[in-house]
Amino acid sequence: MDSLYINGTEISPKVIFDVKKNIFELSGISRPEDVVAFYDSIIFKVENYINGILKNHPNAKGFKFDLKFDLIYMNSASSKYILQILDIFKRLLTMGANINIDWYYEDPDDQIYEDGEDLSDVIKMPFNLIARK
Amino acid sequence: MNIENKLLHFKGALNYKVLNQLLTKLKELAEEGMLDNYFYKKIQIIMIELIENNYQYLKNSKITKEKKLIESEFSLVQVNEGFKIFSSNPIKVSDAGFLKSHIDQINKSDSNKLRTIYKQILTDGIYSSKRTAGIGLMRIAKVAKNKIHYTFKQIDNNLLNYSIEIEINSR
Repeated sequence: MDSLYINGTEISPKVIFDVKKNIFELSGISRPEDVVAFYDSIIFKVENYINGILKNHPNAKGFKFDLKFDLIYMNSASSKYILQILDIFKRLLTMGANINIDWYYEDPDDQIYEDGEDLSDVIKMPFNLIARK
Repeated sequence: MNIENKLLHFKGALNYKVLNQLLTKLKELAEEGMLDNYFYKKIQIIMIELIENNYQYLKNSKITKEKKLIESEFSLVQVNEGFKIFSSNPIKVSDAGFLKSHIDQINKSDSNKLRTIYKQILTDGIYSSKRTAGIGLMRIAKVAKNKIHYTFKQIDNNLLNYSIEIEINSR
């Protein structure tokens, strides 16, 4: 399966889904006008890839994937789709894979910091909350 | 003495182009020193949630096509202790009940309870086919840390003008 690269815009995030390096990154601003269309294609790709891994390697132990969320802004509509992406990776986690999630923020008073805490609580996956340098 | 200084105002059909123009003006106001980073970030989030909600609602309910003359409104006003954001748009009479009870629930919740309800809505909405109903208003209340004031005014038998106002106070 090919990797996925989407350039960021003023309203939509940059997306990197690199299946060779095992990294998934979302960075920039996430408030696409058609949030469903934007995230559906990403979710489709990620889900197909993860399903393929689980089909061929039901025991995902030893498998590692790094997730990086470096968002300056995220609207409430995007949070649902980010949770869906996380939920797909959670399938790997429950099968023994090592899923590392880095969530960047600028200031602990920022909403994006609280968003990271909230999404981590909702999806029940640990996030590394990291101050952006 | 109460001082009110209207910084941003728009009346008409709200859409993403208008939202982007308003966000650009907001950024200019921040660069001119009219609001510090604390207020800029909070106002930006509230503006986006309000205008996107407004636009998506009107688009999905097809009110814009039926009632071209009904305009939405948005304004940002500087007040003594911070900023006041006002927004109004037409809604169907049948949708007013949900909105009223949702805002009432937000207003009677403290910040911890609000966050708990917010996370529950996110949990319930992960695989819901609909947009996560009411999540935008909760986010607005979380960010502003203030009550949402609302009014519904009758337009005709099918429509109401729904207005909300929320203040953002200094730290």
